[in-house]
Amino acid sequence: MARYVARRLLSGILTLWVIASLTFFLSRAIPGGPFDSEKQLPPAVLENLNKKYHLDWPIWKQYLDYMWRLIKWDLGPSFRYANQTVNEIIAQGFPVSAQLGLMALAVAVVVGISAGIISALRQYRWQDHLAMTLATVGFSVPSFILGSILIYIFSYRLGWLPASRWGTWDRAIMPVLALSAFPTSFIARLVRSSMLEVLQQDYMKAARAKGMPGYILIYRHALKNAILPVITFLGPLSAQILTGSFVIETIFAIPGMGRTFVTSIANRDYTLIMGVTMFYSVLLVAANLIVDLLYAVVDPRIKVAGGGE
Amino acid sequence: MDLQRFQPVPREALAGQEIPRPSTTYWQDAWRRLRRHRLAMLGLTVIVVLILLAIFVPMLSPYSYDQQNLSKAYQPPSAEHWFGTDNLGRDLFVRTMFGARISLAVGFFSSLMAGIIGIIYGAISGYFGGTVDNIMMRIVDVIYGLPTTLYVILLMVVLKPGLKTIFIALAITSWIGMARIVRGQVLSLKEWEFVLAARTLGVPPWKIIWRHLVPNALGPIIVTMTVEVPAAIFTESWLSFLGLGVSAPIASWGSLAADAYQNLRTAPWTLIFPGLFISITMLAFQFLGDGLRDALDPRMRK
Repeated sequence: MARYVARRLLSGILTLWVIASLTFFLSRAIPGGPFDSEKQLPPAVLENLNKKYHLDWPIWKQYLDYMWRLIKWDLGPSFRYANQTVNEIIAQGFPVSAQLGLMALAVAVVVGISAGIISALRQYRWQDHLAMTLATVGFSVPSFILGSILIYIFSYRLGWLPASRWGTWDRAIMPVLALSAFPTSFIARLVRSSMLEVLQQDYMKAARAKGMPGYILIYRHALKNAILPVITFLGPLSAQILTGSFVIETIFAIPGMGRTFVTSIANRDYTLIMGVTMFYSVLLVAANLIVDLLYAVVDPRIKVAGGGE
Repeated sequence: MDLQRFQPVPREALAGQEIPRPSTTYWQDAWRRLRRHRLAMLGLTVIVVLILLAIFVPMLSPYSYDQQNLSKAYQPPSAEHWFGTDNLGRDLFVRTMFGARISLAVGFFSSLMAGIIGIIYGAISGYFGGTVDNIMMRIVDVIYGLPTTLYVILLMVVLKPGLKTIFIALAITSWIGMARIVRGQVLSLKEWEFVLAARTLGVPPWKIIWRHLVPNALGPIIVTMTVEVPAAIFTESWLSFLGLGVSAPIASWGSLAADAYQNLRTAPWTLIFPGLFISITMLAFQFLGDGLRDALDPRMRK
């Protein structure tokens, strides 16, 4: 177990190092400097700016400096938003994004698992057909289309829900729905198929023969085993929701990190792009690590195998 | 050896022993199974129709994808403009079909690149095993730790936004999944006797990989390539929606949806059609992928 944890940790750190180097060298390879704009800056100002951001240093020195500051988690100043550091910008946007993301995650897990169980227990009946039809739709309609359609119907036509910004419950409904549609569908299908598999096992038959009541049977014997694949999916799921938030926050004008990231790309705000990318990477690597460990704890067979390949 | 001790078997004794029908090959068998999969055939039909539309509509239509007519801006669907017109009076039917060209090209190209790079990488890693495998798979693990969309975005930042960049970015990132699957297949296939026999006869490694291992892993490879097509189409439309993809006047489904989103209140039809086409394409490839999985590799069924 300890070896497994250590290996996972090492692989996570390696991923972070690669992505850090990649963001550094890619941002240095961008054609056109960060201060290229419509109005020409006087050469003296440009020189001072370059000096201030250490852009006059040799590349290896910049790289080492960058790495050292990353370790201290100092992401530097933003190139575009004067007087704001990347850390500050992340601190502003992240709570909003975290709220949105966690709500979507909760909806996906709760609704997805319930729908999967119901379809499996009512296989080939109307409940199953309804759930699986919805899941197929949720699987194939991209979130930006779904979000736009929701805005058109509920804001523009019916006027029930506000189409933008963040902070109240009614503002959260549509973004959470649009963001969670895909993962919910995925989880529902996953749980349905694994539940169907579990229901056919001999121990289910044995438990039923003992006279165990239906709901205990479902909860204690079927669900616990059927839910295992969902845990493996939690890693990709968080990545899914994270990248999904770029689009959703843009559509619904939510002042979160996803929208900041998208605008920073359009603005060519190097340090912000690099900083947010690093932040996302740390988040995802941590999520993957937690999921791997969780899986090893929940499923004892993993420990015996010792690897988790 | 005394030949007198042998005697020929009479012809009649062989009757009933010959195989009455020509044997079915793996591919004939798979095709038969696929044909029985109704949703997969529906998906396949939709894809073929879509390809034909994408090729011929922009060729045959009286309008072109970038032809503006400001006096006819924001026209709802009519006999003249089937899907209506956009804010510059461009015909949306032609633009949507032109978008289909872009989306399908991106999808197929990405799938092809995933196939080429992924097969070579995965086969080398799996066949040689040991340290080579260890290093190659650690590299894959490190890249796999983050979603490909993040890498694609980083590349799009560096390279100039545009169609060529999308092709490059998707080619660079799409092969990871394929490499893992091919490696797994090769790892188990290379333990078989026919590989041992080939190796004993002195067949060089690349020939064993190409002639013996890859053909035996074609089932999962084809399934993975099929799934890669909608994934790439999705990534492209997603990027274009965010303004990181194709630039005007070229249309892709994502950029059409982005334009539509800006004018959603006044011209909702501009969103419906690109949205519908993206969704139908996703659905069609998903059905085909499911069918192929059942047909080609019963072991992969879950």
